[in-house]
Amino acid sequence: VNAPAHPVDVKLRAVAGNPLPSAIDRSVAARALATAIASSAAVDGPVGAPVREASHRVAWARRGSFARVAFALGAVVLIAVVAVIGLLRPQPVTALGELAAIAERTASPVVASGEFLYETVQQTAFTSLPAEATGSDLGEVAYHEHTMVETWTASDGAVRRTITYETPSFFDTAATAAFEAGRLDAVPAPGTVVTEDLAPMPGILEERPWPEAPDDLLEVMRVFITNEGQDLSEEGAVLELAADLLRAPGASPELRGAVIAALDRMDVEVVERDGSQVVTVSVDYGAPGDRQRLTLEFDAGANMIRETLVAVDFAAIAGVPEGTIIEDSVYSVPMVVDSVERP
Amino acid sequence: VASDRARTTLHRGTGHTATAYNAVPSCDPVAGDRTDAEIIAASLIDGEEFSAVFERYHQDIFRYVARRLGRQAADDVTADVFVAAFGRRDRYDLDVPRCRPWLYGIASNLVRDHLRRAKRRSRAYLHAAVLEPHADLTDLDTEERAAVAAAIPRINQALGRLSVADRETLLLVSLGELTYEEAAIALGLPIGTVRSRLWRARRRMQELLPDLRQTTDDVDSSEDQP
Repeated sequence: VNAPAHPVDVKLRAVAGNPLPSAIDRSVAARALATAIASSAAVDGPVGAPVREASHRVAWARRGSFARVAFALGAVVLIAVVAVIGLLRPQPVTALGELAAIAERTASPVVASGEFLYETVQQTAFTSLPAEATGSDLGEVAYHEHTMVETWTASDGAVRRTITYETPSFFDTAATAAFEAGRLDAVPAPGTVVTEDLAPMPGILEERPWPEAPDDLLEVMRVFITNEGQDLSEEGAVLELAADLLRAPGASPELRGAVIAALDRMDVEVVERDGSQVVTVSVDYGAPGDRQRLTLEFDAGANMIRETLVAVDFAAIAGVPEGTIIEDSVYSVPMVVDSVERP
Repeated sequence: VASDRARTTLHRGTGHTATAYNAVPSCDPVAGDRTDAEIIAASLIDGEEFSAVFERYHQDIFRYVARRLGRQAADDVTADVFVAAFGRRDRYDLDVPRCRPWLYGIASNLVRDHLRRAKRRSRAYLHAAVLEPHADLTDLDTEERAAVAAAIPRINQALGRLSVADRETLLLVSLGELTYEEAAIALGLPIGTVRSRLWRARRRMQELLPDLRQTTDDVDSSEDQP
């Protein structure tokens, strides 16, 4: 069954047209690929090893100077003295500061060949069905789709992912009735499990070098989001980027600690939940009628265990209460397993 | 609710997705002699084999990049996509028969990278150049040409006000013509996240550009494009 095209997509395609490559466009790309293929064949050949060996010898020859060694030793002593003075000086410790220190001390799980990093995400996503699909006079029906996503990430970055569809939830009984009457709960039916095998993809960590000093990192994050030209408030955009970095597979303990320490330097609301040792970091953004709140939640082990985007006000949408979740992801703490079976 | 009219109808058991936006690839690689994965596997031994991937997808990737950046930048960036894919082919999961989402994921990253470099050169680009009008306006009459020229700055301004994540998802589906599942693979996201990002992006676009609120019955036949 084909759904009608969304007006936004129709407009974008109409404006962008249907550009097809000319013979010249095609030959430019073909030539570039042919050059890469030829270079690859050359690098894989026997000439590579002697070149690398020669440069290795030159590098060692440059390191013989006594003066340089003495200078390096002096610098190490100076840094050690400064570090000791810094440690002796009492400093106020914030909740995020504590979490940053914990994150830095917590080694990332090591995934050996034949092993997998197993994680689960319990996800709720706000979505809707067009009036045509429900076949009722309710118009478009908004609802929450609930899924359980499990991922097994191999040492080379390849991912096995299963998505289990759970029973959707609606905002009123009439919508529920229309949904069930139209047999729409069967597409996909609750309990359906979809398995996907995904090739490794470059992620946020490959975008650029991310400093591991919190102040430097915060500066780079702000430049990054400025270049992206986002419409979020600056703190909102930085918090989104921070979540991307914390979620990135392969983020080092130092980087994770720096991200959390950077959050401590931002204009965000930090709440420590009594008893549970859970810390939440929130920021609001958007214009009235479209205000949203992004919240990250950390456990006592400095793991990001939840990420929630909530509509603070939903003036534009009738029938959907304020505070509605737009997206909610509850993460498990990753663990290393030796097969792609549910542990 | 003025929101997501593009709810995908899913046939989960088969792993196929049918929507009005389903892309029509230049050919059906799985039905052909070899799957993409088989070609990529062969290219690990003989790099020349990778040319077959180029043959299959160059037109699709060029169209997506040209829609984002214009024809002038598209030839170089499209070339970069295939060179990058060739360089990363040893990390391709050979159990995945079709490499189309993987190529679009690389294209999406390179388009963003290109825009970032352009923006660094001039702050004037900050809220512009998200989408380029097609250069082949000769098939349009004067009135249509003027309408496209007038629409582009407004659409770019609106696109520039989306978050990067929402914008990339929207443009992969609308201009790349990927299914929701393909977009999820290209972006490395759960399909629920793709849905909620699309919903947010489309709603925001309709708020910023009220003329996009028209129903599908009111729009012209441009949705028939591949």
